[in-house]
Amino acid sequence: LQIRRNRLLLFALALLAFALILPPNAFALDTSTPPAGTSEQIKAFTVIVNRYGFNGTDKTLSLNLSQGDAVHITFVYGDGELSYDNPHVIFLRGYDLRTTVISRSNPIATLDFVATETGTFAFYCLVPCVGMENLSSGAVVVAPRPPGNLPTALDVMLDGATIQGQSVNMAATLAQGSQPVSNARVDFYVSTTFGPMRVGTAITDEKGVARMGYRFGESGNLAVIAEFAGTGSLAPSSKQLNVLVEARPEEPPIVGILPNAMGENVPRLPYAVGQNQIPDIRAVGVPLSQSLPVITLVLLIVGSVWATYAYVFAQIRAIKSGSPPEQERKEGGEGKLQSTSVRQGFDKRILIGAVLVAIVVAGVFAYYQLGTTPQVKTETIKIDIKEVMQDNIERHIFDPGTVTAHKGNHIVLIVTNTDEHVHGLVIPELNLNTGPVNSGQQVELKFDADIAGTFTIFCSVPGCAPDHAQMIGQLVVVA
Amino acid sequence: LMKESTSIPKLLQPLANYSKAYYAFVGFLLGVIGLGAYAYSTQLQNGLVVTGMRNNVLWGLYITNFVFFIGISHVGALMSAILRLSGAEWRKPITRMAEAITACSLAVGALMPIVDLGRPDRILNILLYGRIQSPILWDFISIGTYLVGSLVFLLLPLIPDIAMLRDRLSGVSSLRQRIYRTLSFGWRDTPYQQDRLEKAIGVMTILIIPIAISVHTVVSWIFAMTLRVGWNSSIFGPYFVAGALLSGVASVILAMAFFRHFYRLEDYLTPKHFRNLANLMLAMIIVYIYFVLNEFLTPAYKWETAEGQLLGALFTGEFSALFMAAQVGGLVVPAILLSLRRTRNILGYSIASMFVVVGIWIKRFVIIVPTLARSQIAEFWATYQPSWVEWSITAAAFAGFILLYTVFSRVFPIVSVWETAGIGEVPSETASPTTISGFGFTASQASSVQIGSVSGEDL
Repeated sequence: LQIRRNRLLLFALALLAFALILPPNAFALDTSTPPAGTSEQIKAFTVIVNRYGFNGTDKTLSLNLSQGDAVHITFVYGDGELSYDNPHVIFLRGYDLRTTVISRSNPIATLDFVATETGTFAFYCLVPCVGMENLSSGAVVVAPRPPGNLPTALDVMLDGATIQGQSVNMAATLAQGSQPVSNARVDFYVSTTFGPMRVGTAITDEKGVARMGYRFGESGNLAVIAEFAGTGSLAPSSKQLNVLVEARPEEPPIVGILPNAMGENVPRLPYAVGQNQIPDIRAVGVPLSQSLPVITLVLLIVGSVWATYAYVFAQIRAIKSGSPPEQERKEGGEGKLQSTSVRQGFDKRILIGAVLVAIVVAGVFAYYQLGTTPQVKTETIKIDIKEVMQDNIERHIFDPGTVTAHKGNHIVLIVTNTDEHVHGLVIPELNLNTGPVNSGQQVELKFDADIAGTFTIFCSVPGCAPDHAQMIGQLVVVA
Repeated sequence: LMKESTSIPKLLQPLANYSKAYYAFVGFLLGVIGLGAYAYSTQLQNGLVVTGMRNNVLWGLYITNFVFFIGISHVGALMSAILRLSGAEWRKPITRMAEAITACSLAVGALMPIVDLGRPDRILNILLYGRIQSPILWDFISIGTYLVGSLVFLLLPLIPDIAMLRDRLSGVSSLRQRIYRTLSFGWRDTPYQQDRLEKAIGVMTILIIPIAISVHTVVSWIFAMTLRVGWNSSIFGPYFVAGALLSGVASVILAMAFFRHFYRLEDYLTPKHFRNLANLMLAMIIVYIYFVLNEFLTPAYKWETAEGQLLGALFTGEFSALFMAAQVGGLVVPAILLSLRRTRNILGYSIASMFVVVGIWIKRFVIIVPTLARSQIAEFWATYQPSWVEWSITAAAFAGFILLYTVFSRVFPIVSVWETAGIGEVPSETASPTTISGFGFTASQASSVQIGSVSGEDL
């Protein structure tokens, strides 16, 4: 019985393993052989369309023709082995032709046309089908009639600074001999890690110039390629221009965009500690050191749970050892009181050990995090809100009107209201607000000056005085 | 092997006698799991396109199963820990069933997010690039912690029983003997070992309660931390915990009914146990109905544009059948069954539990899918139709859970032997006082157990 049971289990396991290994299409029929059959008068092609590409491969499939050929292309649905329907619609660019839906129920579609236009015309699947990325590299190549094969020349240039993220104009000039070629199509490509990427197409004007605007997303040495595919009697040509794109000037991370008091969206300083501000624990891109309090808290909670597990594991180990530690055994037998105290000592040691481990781990983590960030300097800035007489008119000002802070420092802004009215200080762009400050009161705002720039200071108490709207100062954070 | 069964305590007999029906059942479960494995290999080869999930509805059956299984896993930890802490003696025969549900459902539930990944290897990215600020990482940490905790919580009270199996179950395969030897941790029932075990169980009993509550709260935060209609709610934490406990209690009642019938445990699982749990379930249903009222009345009263579109889809639209099935079938019908005198019996409780389990599963589905299908921008509204791959894997998940549970009950006693010493055995085995000797907790322990409260008036 024992053996039979084991065999049964083995058999079940083997079945399971077999099911895991077996590819789901193991029993499907192979339909990759294209059916034969071509007519003599017209140029005919048969293309299998499946999720792996045209004729089962994602390599470029070129159908070569000469200008004036009558063409008959048959597309055959090749995804029959799939359990679901994977419909395709093939679109031939340039000729703007599309097939009917090629699907399980309608497995064959055809395209018939006369190759009047010359050049390379991509055909691809229009439907977001499975494997659409493989069905993108078909090409109908229509060669011009040999006699009128006139050479063309293409020149490409960029207008504007080549800086990552900024717009430039790309201009390509197409000429045949000394004559500009108008109304011709020029494709623009930019090199990427994965090869040239077509970024746009433009038509040449009467001066033979095709233009398009472009914004470089990457920096470094890039190639801009203009390509003319040839048309009619004109031969194709292309030109490559190598450019050095400067890296985008570094910007501070934009963190937790929240509307400010003015209802505008401005970058908010991470962990600015002022009124109505709480640390944003979602903050993406915040240096780890700034989210340290949150992380340490989480680690402490999780760590203490695991430390308690360690205590439980130690109990299991004690069970396994089966007897009290050495000292207790020496006390002998049933000395209940004695052994309990020894046991408690043992427990205490484990607990203390576990807590120590947790503290050491948290400490090492904190040290590592803090050790990698530079020491932050604290800068104290004082602003008084006071009343002065100008031309016999009472005016309320921030004194000094312009204060300067240094980027990277921790800023303590001390606001003192020496006027008899209630005023306040608000820097909307930094989301700093003292709230109402009574006469003679002093309020401290603390924040990290992480963004350089000039920030306008306003009074936050509307109606504080007739010249409330004129109460303006500025904070300059210099890099 | 079979001969020995006569001298084996009743609770251990299922561990020694394997019937043909058992093999057939295991074979059937393995078959379902095989189908799921085949479906999963299809998914691995072709990607998630073989499922019904697309850009908009990117969580479907898999995440429904995940939330459901993590949910029923709560019962073991919470119910058993709370009953242990409150010193409810009647719990003794049922705590292990509940704790085993926890371990088995967690093991299955934790796999579901991995199945939901088109590229399962990318689960490593959570470890490599995880940000502590992200709820996904909270989930990862809390479920991992809970899995370890619940396994320990299941193992600790098992140790004396495993030691007994090691000493008394001869003739089992060498693999099982090795398992028993390893997992009994050299238990010889010395006062020292009893003291250690008591301490460990005591610590785990307290620790497992906050862990269990935090886990399902964190699972709910996966939704509630997202700014989407239907999920943007502050009650999701307690709401999910309540739903988890409800479905967990229901699955314990089902497990009890199953084992009572097939393992002949009528002496241990008395109508009183069922009645107590049924009362607990009824209380949880009422709590849950209260939460449902809160979840829907507040947005429905205001009918804010996007909320209104979702509520329309739920109450009268394409999800109304499922939605009503979850509310009426999962809450109202079982509440009625649990209240009527005529259905207040084990069969009635079991049927009510079945309604609850299915209802809560549908409820999970109706929480997840409609919100995703009703994008904030009406042009991107989508539909979701699970594919055969998803259904197969779902079936395999349930089969896997039942298989784990069944195998567990065949390798370890599903009712704690040492904690229930004296119950059930006393009348039939008085002639042989050595029945449960060879392992501790015999005479002294048995007499200290409050037998009367368990087996008294209900037998």
